[in-house]
Amino acid sequence: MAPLILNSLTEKDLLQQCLDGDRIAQKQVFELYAPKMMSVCKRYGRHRLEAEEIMQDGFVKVFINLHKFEYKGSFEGWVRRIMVNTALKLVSKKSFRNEQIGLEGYQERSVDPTVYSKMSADDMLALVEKLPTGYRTVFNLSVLDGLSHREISEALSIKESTSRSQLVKARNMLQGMIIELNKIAM
Amino acid sequence: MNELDEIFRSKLENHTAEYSEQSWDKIQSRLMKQKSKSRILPWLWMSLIAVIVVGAIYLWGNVDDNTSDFTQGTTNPMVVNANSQNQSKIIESALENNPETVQANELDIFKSIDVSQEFLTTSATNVIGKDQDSNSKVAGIQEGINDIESNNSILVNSNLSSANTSGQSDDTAVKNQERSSVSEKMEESNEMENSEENKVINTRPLRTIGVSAYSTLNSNQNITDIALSKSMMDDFRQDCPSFVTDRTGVYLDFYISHELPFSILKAKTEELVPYGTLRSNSEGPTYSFSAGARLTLMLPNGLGLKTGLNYSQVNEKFTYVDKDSDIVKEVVTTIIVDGVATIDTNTIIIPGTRDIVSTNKYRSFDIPLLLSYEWDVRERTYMTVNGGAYLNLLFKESGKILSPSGEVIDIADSSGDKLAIFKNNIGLSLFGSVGLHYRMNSNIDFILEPNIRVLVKSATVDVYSLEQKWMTVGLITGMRYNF
Repeated sequence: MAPLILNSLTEKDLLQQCLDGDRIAQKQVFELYAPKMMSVCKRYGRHRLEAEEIMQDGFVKVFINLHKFEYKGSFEGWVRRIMVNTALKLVSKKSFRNEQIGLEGYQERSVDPTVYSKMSADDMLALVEKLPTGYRTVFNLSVLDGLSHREISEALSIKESTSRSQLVKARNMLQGMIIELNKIAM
Repeated sequence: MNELDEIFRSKLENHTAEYSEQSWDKIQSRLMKQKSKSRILPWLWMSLIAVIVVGAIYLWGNVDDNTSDFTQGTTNPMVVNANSQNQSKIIESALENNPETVQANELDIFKSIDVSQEFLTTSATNVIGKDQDSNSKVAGIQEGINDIESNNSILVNSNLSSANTSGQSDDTAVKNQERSSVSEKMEESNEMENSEENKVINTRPLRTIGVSAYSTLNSNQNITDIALSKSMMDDFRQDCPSFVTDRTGVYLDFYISHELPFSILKAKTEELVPYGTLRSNSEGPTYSFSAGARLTLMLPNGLGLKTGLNYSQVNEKFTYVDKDSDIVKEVVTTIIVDGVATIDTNTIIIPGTRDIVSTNKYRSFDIPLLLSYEWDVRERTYMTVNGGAYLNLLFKESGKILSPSGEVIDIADSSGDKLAIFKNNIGLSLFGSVGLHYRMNSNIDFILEPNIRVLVKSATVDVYSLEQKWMTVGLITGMRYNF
């Protein structure tokens, strides 16, 4: 993949070429953002194939709706939002139905900070992928994509309290998995 | 935000992951399909607009014909519009009540006609011709009034119309002569008309009267008026070859075209030429056809516009011999031992070849937009040349072809992860034809029309290795209905 470093002007030119239906320009945009977007999609998808599907759907939407991009924020942020929205369509409410348990019994565990430094991004992504769909979705939306619980509740049609509880449980589960990994490593 | 959140965010914020190499091809294919869909809608709008325009022109033409009956002389001269009809009734009433007054004030009557029926006056001006003064006009119309008096009937409108049409007839001496001859021919029927009770006018059906009355000018120039109905024009066409056929109107063609398609396969790169050859060798032309309906709007000068709906089916025969194919057979044997039935199943593999034969069908719905020109060849026979474009609405394919790796693949519409090979809309085709029409009767023509059609752009999607176009040569057989 050829690295493309674009300043805002050239990015605008490139996007204009995409709007004109230039397939080469579209491919350049795809190659520029696909690796990051694939990482985003992997966080939401249940498996690699589903992540690929989300990314392809997302990019088709990006190119079809490109004329709606108003250059008010970063293009990458806009693309990322489309990917997340596309992914959320795959997340069923069922994912939360069986996970709406109270917070009783869940206590945050303490993890040695040095453990985190030993972990690579791929390791962390692998841990996120192991979370149940409901936990994973809320953790992704809240922690990694910066949505408030209110926004999450609207996006997923769930209660804000559900969103909060899912986040707590996701954190707890991740900490548990990290501790286990650390034990194995030692 | 707690520590765990911060660490996950910082590590995964700019994280990248590998994606499938086929991702872009799939995205591109889907974008192409989306584009094709968005292209269909404008074609539909264009076709709708075309139909509306043709319809509007036709209706406008009809309205024009009705209002210009006095000048055209191509339709029933007894057809008058509401204004003239009302005026006739007024005059008729006046005659019945006080014939002397009417006779004494015939000029006043004329004036009242002149004032109340501007269009008649205008028509009369046309009648007399550009170089005739108003006295001639008065003379012409007074003739009509004299006829009223002599026949004690109302023929003002018909006389006015006849006078009017006579203006057109003095355009050329030749036309006058032709019309005079026809006028003589029809005089008998005219006299018959006049001898009958003419008190009630405008009640006769269309196309019953071919010739109206005549009038003379001060200059003694004979401006015999002839107003021929369409049916009479048809009759005279045979007797008088010098007549120019008036085809103005709207016609509907129903046709089927028997065709042979020639596929043009072109490799996009030199490395793909062997694949192109492989496909060319495995696919061949076979009987194909098109069918449809065309609406033709004919203009007086022989030029015409044609549009409608066309269905085409290009058929190609796919033949392939799979030399390494094994025939697998399952042999089921029932063995009865001591009254107990045992089923034994054996699989037999026969190494050898397998012939694969399939008919590939490429179906398309198109809207033809054609320009045509028609001219007479001989009695009842005329020719047309047609040229223009076929705008594709929808394209569908089915059958089998060889893949670049030599495998037999299905070309039916893609679904899921399967890549589409052909577009949903193949765009524009150029069409040309020469037609021979034989007039079977006043309403039906038989059409024989050799034609050629060429697809302008490739029917395959951009990502596919080969470009594929078709040129079809065909023979249209069909019928034309004259409205």
